[in-house]
Formats: sequence, C-alpha cells, structure tokens
Amino acid sequence: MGQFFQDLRYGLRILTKYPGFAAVAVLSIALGIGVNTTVYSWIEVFLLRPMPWVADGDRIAVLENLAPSGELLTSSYPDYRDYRAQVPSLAGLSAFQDQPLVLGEGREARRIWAERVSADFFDVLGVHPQAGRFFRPEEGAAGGPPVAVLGDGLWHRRFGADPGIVGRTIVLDRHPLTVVGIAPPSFLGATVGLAYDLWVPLPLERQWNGGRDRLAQRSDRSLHLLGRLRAGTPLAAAQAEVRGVAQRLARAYPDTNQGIGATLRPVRQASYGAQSLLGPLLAVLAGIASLVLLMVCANVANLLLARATARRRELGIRAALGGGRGRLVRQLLTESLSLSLLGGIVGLLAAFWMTDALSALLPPTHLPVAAMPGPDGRVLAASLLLSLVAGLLFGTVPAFQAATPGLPLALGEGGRGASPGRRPRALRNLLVVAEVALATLVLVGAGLFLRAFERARAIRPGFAPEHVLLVGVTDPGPAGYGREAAQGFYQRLAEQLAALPGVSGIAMAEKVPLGFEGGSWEEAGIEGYAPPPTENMKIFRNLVSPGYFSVLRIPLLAGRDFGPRDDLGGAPVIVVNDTFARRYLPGVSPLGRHVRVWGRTATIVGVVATAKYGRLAEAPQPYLYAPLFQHLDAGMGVVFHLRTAGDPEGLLPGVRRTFGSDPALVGFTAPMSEYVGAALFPERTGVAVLGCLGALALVLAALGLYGVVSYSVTERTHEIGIRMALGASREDVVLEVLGQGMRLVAAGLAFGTLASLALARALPGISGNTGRAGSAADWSIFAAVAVLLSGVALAANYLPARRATEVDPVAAIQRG
Amino acid sequence: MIRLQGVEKYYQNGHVKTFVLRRINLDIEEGEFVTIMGPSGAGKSTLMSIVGMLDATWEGEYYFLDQPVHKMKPKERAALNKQYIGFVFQSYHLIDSLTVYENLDLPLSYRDVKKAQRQSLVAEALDRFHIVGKKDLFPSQLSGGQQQLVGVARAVVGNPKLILADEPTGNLHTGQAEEIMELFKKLNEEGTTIIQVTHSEKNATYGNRVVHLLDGWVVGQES
Repeated sequence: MGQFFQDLRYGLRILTKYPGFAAVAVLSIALGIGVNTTVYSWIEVFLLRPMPWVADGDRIAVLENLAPSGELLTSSYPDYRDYRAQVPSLAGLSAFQDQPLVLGEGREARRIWAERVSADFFDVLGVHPQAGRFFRPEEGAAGGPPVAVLGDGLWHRRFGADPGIVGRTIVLDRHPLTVVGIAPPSFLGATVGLAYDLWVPLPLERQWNGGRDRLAQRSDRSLHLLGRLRAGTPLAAAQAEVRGVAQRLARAYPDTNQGIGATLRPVRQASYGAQSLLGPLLAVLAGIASLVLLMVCANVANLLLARATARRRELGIRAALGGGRGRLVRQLLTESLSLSLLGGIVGLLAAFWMTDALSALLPPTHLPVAAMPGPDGRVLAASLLLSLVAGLLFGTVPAFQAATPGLPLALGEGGRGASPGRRPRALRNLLVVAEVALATLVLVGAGLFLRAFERARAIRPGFAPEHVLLVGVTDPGPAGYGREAAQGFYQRLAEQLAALPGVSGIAMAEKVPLGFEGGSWEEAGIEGYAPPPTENMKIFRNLVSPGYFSVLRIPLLAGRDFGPRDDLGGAPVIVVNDTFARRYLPGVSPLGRHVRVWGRTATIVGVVATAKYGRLAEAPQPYLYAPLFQHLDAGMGVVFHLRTAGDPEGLLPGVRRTFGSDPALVGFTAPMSEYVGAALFPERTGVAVLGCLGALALVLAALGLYGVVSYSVTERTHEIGIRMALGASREDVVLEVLGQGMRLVAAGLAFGTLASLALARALPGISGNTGRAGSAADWSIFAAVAVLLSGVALAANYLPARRATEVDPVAAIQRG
Repeated sequence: MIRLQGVEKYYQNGHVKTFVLRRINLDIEEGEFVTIMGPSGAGKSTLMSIVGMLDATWEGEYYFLDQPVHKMKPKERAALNKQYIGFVFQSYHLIDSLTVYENLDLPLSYRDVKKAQRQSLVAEALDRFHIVGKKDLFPSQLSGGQQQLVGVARAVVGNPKLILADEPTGNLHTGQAEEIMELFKKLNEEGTTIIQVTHSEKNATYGNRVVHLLDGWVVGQES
C-alpha cells in the first residue's frame, strides 16, 4: 500500500510538472466520462429504474390493451376489474389516470396535477406514507368518502410541511376533501418523467359529475393499469393469463372488446411516459457516447505513448536501479489511473450540470414534468468504475510498451541515439486511425439524425400552428355546475378573449394535436361499412368548437363547419377527415352518412383535409371531430386557440387580465408552434446531443492527429534536417509531413465509413430515417463528414508541418 | 565474483551480424577496482550493460558469484541486479521529478525494503555524503558535482557488492572529478568491487587493473 501511495505521489507530481499534457488528458477524460455519465443517468432514470420509489420494482408491470394494429391502448374500469379478479399471477392490479385540478378557491386557487387512482394503488406499488395513511378499500368504492393524499412537494409548497394537515379538509375543484395522508418525498406518481401533487380515489369523479358514471362504461378506455407480480412468478406466466382474460372479454363483450388483446410488460416498455419517447433514442445515445469514450481512450493512450517515449531516460534509470517490468508498469498504470480518476471526478461534476440539459430541450407543455434528478449513488459508482476501466484501457498498452525489456537506457551517454523504435509509432498511428474511424461514425450518426430531423420538420402538419396562442383552461367545475352552465362559462370566456386587441380568430378544442399527451379515440360504427371481425374501429377524435378549422387553416373539403346550434340541444353531428372518407366510405359522399359513436348516432356534416395528429411522421389516419358543446363534461379542460397576425405571446398580457380574478383556471399558455414541437422532441434531443458529441469527436480526432504528427516531426527533426540539407524545399517538407497525417486520415475515414453504413441501418427506428443507407441523401452526409474531417485534419496537420519547415538543417544534423 | 566466458554480442541486420563484443573472457575478483578503457565504439558500455544485467541478449557464459547468469530468467537476473549491483552514470541520471531524498529512496523501494529501514539507510547515506542539507532539493537545483555525488550515494545506498560506473567524471571539472574518484577509492577500500569505464588515464590510476577493449575484443590487460 505504501508503494502504491509512493507511485501515486510521484504520478501526481509528474502531472503537475507537465500541466499542458495533464490538462488536455484530464479534460478529454472529463468530457468522455461526463457525457457517458449523463447518458447513463438518463438511462437509469427512464429505463433501468423508472420508478425508484417502488418496492421490488422488478415485480411491477404495465398492463396495456392491444389493438389489432399492434397499438397499445389504455383500459376501461370494467376491464380493469376483470383483469384484477382473473389474473392469479398478479398480487395486485391498480388503475390510475391523471387530471388537472384546482386546489383552493378565489385568489388562493392554484392549478395542480393529480392522479385519480384505485384504492389499492399505493399498496400495489409498495409505497408507504410519511404521515397519515393511504386509501382504504371503501374509499375506492363508488360513494366512498371524499379523501386525498398529498404529495411531498405540495405539502411543503402549499402547507409549509405542517403535519397537522392530515385529517383537515382541503378544497379541490370546489369540493371539500379530507387529507388522509402524505406520500413519501421520493414518490412522484406512476408516470415516468411526470411529478404529481396529489392523489384522489378514482370514483370521486362520479360524485363530482352529477352522478354520471363514465367509469361504468367498458368503452371508456382512459385508465392506465399497473400490476405487481406475485413473488417468484415469471412475467411470461402472468402474460399468458392476461392474454387469456383478454380473449374471454372479447367473447363476452364483442361490442367493445372484439379484437382487443392485452399485454403485460415491464414499466420501461410502457407506451406512455418519458421512457416511451426517449427509450430508443437513449439506446443510440449510449452507443455514440461509448464511441466518444473510446475516442477519448485512444487519444489519451496516444498522449501517454508520446509521454512514455519522452520518459525513456527516466524509465531506463528506474530499470537500472532495480525497477522490474511489473513495478514500472504499476507505476505507469497508477499515473494513468490517477489521470482517469481526476478526469472522472471533473466529468461527474459536469454531469450534474449536463443531466438537466434534457429539461432545456423540452418544448412547452402543460404536463407536470418532473425535474431531472442528478446522478445518484449508483450512477456515480458506475461512472467512477468507468473512469477506472477507461484508465486501464488507455494506460495499459502505453505502460507495457514503455516498460518493454530492452528499453532501458544504454549505459554510457544516456541512451545516446536510442530510438523509441517502430512499434510505439505504429501503435500511435493505429490509434489515430481508430480515432478518425470513430469520429466518422459519430459524425455520420449525428448527420443522419440531423437529416431525419430536417425531413420531419419539413413535413407540414396539415394545420397552421404559427401565430396561434394556446390557452389551456381547466374545468370551472363548481359544485352542481351543469353542462349548460359550463358551456355558458366557456362561451363568455371566448367572447372576452376574442375581444382582445390583435385576436383575429378564436376556437376551442379538447385536445391539441402533436402534443405530449397523445390523442383520444372512440369506438365507431359506420353506416355502410362492415368491418372484418378482427378490425377494431377505434377512431382518434377531437372535440372542437365552431371556427376551429378556419382558425387552424384546416381546409374544409365538403359540407359545413360546426355551428352554434351544434350543442347539447342539437342533433349529434361529426366532421371527418378525407382519409376517413376514403377508408370507410369510398366512392360515395360521406355527407349525411351516419356514424354510431359515443353510444349515439351522429351525422357526418363535413369533410376536412387530413392533418397530423400524433406524430409528424405518421401515415394519414382516419379522424373525426365532434362539437365540443355536445360532449362537454365535468373534468374536461378546454384549450382556446387564439389566432393573431403578430407574435402570439403578445396576447399574453390581455389573457392574464381576462383571468385576473381566477388565474388558477389557466393551465398553460404557449405559442402553438412551440407546443407542437413535442412531436419532434426525440429528434430534437437527438440532434442536440449528437451534435455536441459530433463536435467533441471532431476536436478529439484533431487533437489526436495533431499530437501524433507533431510528435513525429519532433522525432524526425534529424531526418528532416538531412532532407533539407540534401535539397528538399519547404514545400517538399510540408507535403511529406501532411502526407503522413493524411494517410492516417484516409485509412480512418475508410474504416469509419464502412462502420457507418452499418450504423445507418440501425437508425430508422429512432429518426424516421428510411434506413436505406446508400441513398443520395445519405451519401451526401458521408461526403460532408469526409470533407469536414479531412479539413479539420488538414488544419491539425498543417501546424506541425509548418514547424517542420523551420528546422535548421545544420543544427539538426549536429544534434543528431 | 565475475566470470565471463566467450561472451559475444551482435546486432542482426537481415543476414548480416554486426558484432559489438567478441569472445570476451574476463575474471574479476571480489574487492577489485577494474578500469575498462578503449575508444568510442569499442564495446565498453555494452560490456557494462551485460555485467550489470541490463542487457539480456548476448551469447556465452556469465557467472556472477558463481551463479550462472546466462541460464537465468529475466526475473532472476533482475533480482540479482537489485541485490548486488549499483550504478553510477556519466550524466548522473537522477530522476528530475524526484527530490534528492526520493532519488536515494528509489532503489531501496525497488528492493522492497521496509519503509522504516529505508528511512534509516537514506539518512545514513545523506549523512555519509554530506548532502543532508540538499535532501529536499530537486536535481535541477544542484551543481554537476553535487548531482554526481547524489548519483554515487544512490549507487551505494543499498550496500551493493559491485558498483558499475560508466564515465562517472565525464561531465565534471577536475576538482569535482577528484572528489568522486577519492570516494570510489574509499568505497573500494571498504570492500566494494568497482568497475569503471573511463577515457581518463588519471582516473585509471585509482584502480588496480585496466582492461583494454578495441572493436569488441579484449586487446590487453594491465595491473
């Protein structure tokens, strides 16, 4: 141990003696470790431990329904009860859905995000309250007492962490509820990436909704289900049982469940939550970040090889004094490891800052996005381990190379004429080739992402989000507030907002397309269309007010827009898009046709152009719109769409004045063009992160190349002197040195391009890339990367080449 | 102590062998002070490297304290080197990044000497060579003579039976050179065997035998 500390002390002293070398090496390692720690931290948060607060998290699984198309769906309450009763492999199954609520009244009112949950929700997750208790079975039943559980954040923010709040009454959406407990600080809710403030039992909605019970409808699929496997039960066994129940439900309830399957999968594979958006991207980022770390290792190994050559005299003395090969290797490895640890520590500090970068890339959303936690103990330990592995990776070869038998100084004049030989030089060249190849890979990866991003961004969404301000308004919901009153409330609000200066058009809708929340859908029976037995007639839909299509510039192709009479008292009507018309009613006019939806028969009164609803890259899909005021319900928020000629944010002061007395009603405000950026969030994140990694790779490759060529020029000073004495011009010398460096670049580019072709085929799932690496567009990326790398390499080579021309032939020959 | 029989060293360039040492037969008794002389390229330093067990690529037989070095594995040779041999170099070859104290400590630490014993041996050497006041200085802060003094102190700190000195005064002025040679003489009188390489006739007079090398051959010996 004493010798280890002695080696460590000498190692650190060497580093301080060569601060330039140490700074470059430590900074390179810090960047490599920082980037990998950041990506690993994201993977840990979203994929490996998406619910760290859950006891025995590996036994928690998501139960989702499965459409015939393979699309994953939420479930209905009756289905939930059946699955809960009929899957013996599950120790428990809970249901939940999120909902914005207003806490408090008047000026004290604040909008919060809550989860409505089944009574066993916390038991299934294995969470324990920090104060009070969680829900009792009777509180989860219809007509149960109105109770709530506070989140730790809300408890601190709103109630000053007063433990006396348990047992007291709070007002939620103007209904009194009793607080029965406080969730532990770590518990944020059941959706990965979101942080909820409060939990209430599922059936409360029924009591607040004038007795109308949407939960009783098997067609109302709005619940997420989370189950806990019994100890020792394999997931596959439970999956088989879940599939069996789905088949029984499809037979028993064909109207709602025909063709609907079910699947049980780990939380990280759920179709909702941040992990569903970022999972595939993180896999690519992890791969690219690893490549960057390999580049860092190659770079630092190169630096160490150069330093070891410069330290041949010292190592020779050590060997002559009895330092065996093992001892010298240990000394050099200790130095490498101290370098890697220093770099690792700096990288970890950087990772705390970089981890939050993901939040900065988020488009505006009204969802309660959780703050990104910094790297936890596991991530820190893994990163330090990674630093040590990197240290071994970049330190081992140079250490063994330096301590090779036969290297020691020649007795006599200090190893006169001792040359480091061809082997270290060849190794350094090989490392640079590897670095250029890796840089090519990283840059091509970034380029492909950028291309995919541009391609996605170029897709027109089918509506005009520019110059539109979104104002999300939560349900006003006073006790006993009827649907007519709600309609009156929203209409009055619309009139006030429409009167704001600069507003040229206004419309309302329940959903905003291309946001994070995803869409809602309804089962539809279309007159004149007989679906095959396995076809699920699930049609995505939106509830919109009159004027919606004109405000969003969605072309009306036939029929009419909704009008003021399309309300509760009017006959049920819908507007469909042209994809709906072509898919279900080909060759006939859809106008006047009937569609059975929401349990009623509605008449198609208009056809509009197809837009993008969930993702920009999606194929055209059937879609239907229904009048907002025919379906307005308690708990339903509405989003106002305000069109203006100028900057939509210019409308904000007027909007705030309009809601002055009741600001909690406003859930969110955002320019629509930013809001729909959610549709490109993974691509945007990929481009931003890969762009940074690409730049880093470029710098590392340039540094590596510069180091090798520069060192080679120093080594070849004598030779260059002789060449010049023999008549070589400065241009000859520059070309000779440039040629040496550019040959390495060419080799690296060739290997990197081959590897990139394989990478290009791995990307389509993430970026919407066609995957046909070899298309003209892809080749232009390869060409651009080759030109960029060659340009940077040329610059990195030119500096030492210039230096080579300054060699004084006489002095060089004399020194030799 | 040392017996070389038919030792040869050459470099292979394709099919051509370039000999550096040819059929060296040499016996050195314990307690001798031997000087090796010869022009540049005669093979003096190569011979010292072989005797010092720094070079393992040669042919012939080499017995050190009756042990057959030519049959030993690299680790065994390294162990023998560590235990019995100290080196003094023309360019001092102190490690720039270590203090005087640490330079003296280094060979002992390579011999796995316990820390307490190392401290005692280094303190003794510092005292013996009157360099206690310099112990925290780095080599660059010392004069050439002082550096070579440290070099000799480092060579003897482990109490070696044999000191190999390659042009130990080559970089020193006359006064410093005499001081170092007197030191070697004293060490020899105390029982340490010394082999030095030198071009200096004056330095050779400190020894009791001179071996002449030319083009890799031993061309003469005189006592």
